[in-house]
Amino acid sequence: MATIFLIDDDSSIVTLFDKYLTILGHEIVATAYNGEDAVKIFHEFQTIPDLILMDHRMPKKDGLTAAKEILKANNRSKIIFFSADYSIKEKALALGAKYFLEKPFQLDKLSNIIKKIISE
Amino acid sequence: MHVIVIFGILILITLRIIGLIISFEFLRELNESKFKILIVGWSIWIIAGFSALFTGLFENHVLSLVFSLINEITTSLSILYVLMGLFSYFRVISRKTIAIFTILSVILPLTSFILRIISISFNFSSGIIFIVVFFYSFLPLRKINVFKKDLSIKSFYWYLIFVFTVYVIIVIFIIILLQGYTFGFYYDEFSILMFINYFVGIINAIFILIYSIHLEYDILRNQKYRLRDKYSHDLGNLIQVIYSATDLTDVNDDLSKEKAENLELIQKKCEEAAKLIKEIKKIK
Repeated sequence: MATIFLIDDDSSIVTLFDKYLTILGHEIVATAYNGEDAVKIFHEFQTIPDLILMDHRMPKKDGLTAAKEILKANNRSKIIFFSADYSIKEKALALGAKYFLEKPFQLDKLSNIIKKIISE
Repeated sequence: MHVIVIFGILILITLRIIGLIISFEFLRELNESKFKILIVGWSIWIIAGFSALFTGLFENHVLSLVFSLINEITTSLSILYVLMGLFSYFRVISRKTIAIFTILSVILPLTSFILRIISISFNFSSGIIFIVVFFYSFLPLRKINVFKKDLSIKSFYWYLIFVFTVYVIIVIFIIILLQGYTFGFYYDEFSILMFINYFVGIINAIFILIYSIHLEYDILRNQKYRLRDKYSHDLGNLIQVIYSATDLTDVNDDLSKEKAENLELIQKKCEEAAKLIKEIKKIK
C-alpha cells in the first residue's frame, strides 16, 4: 500500500479520492488545493510520499509548474497527473510524470494505475 | 480640384465608412473597448475625407485654408486612433498616452495656424503622423509572441503588408513636402505623384480593412476555443465528481438490487458524458 499526496483545486474530488484510496488501504499523507501550496507542503515532507496525484488547472500555480518544482526538489518523486485538459498530456510525461489520466475516469482505473506504478 | 483627387477622396470615404460599419459590428458582437477607439478613428477619418473635399469647393482662400487645417488635424487624429485601435490587440493603451497624442495632434497645428505659420502647421501634422505611425507599427512586431500565440500567421502577413503600405505613404508624403506642396495635395493640375498618392492611400485603406477582419476572425476563433476548453474542462470535473461518488458508493455499501441498478445507470451515463466531452474537445 502506498503513501499518497493528493492535489486538486476541486475539494469534492479531493474528498472522494481520499475516501476511496483510504478504503483501498492507501494512506493520504497530505492534500493541497493549489500548485503553490503543493510545492510548499512537499518541501516540508520528512519522508517523500510514494505517489503524488495531481491536477493541472489550479489557482496560484498550475500542475505542470508545480510538478517541475517538485521534481527539481526530488527527481525520484512519482507523479500521476489527472486532468480534464488533455492537451498537457505530452508536456506532463516529458516533464517526468509517470502517467496521465484524462478526467473523467472511473476510480478502479486509478486504482489499477497506482498498483502498477507502485510495483515498478 | 482634379477629378482624380475627387474620386480618390470619395473612394477613401467609402472605405472608411465600411471600416466604421465593421468596427460597429464587432463592438456589438464582442463588446471590447478597442472597437470604441477604432470607431472614433474611422469616424474622424470620414470627417477628414469630407473636409478634404470642402477644401477644394471654396474660392475663398481663408475658408479653404480653414478646411485644410481641419483636414490636417482630423487626418492626424484618425490615423492615431485607428492605429491605436489596431495596436490595442497587443497591449492596453493608457488613457494618458491617448490624451498626450490627441492634444499634440490638435494643439500644435492649431496654434501654429492661429499664429499664421501655416506651412509649419502642416509640417506639424505630418510630423505627428510620422511619429504615431513609427511608434505603433513597430511595437506589435516586438510583441511577436502574441501574434504566434493568439493570432494566425495570415494576420501577421497582412500586418506586414499593411505596415509596408503605410511606410510607402510616408515616403510619398515626404516627396510631396520636399516638392513644395502642402500636406493635402488638393490641386487642379494632374501629376503622377498625385495619382500615386491616392492610389496607395486607397490600397492602404483596403489593407487596413482586410487586416482588421483577419484580427477579428482570429479573436472570435480563439474565443470559441477558450469556451470549448473551459466548458469541456469544467464538465469533465463535474462528471468526475459524479463518477467518483458512484464508485465510492459501490465500494462502500451493500446495495439493494434497485440501488445497484440505479448506480449502474448513473455510471453508464457518466461514461456517455465522458465520450461526449471528448467529442467536444475535438471541435475545431
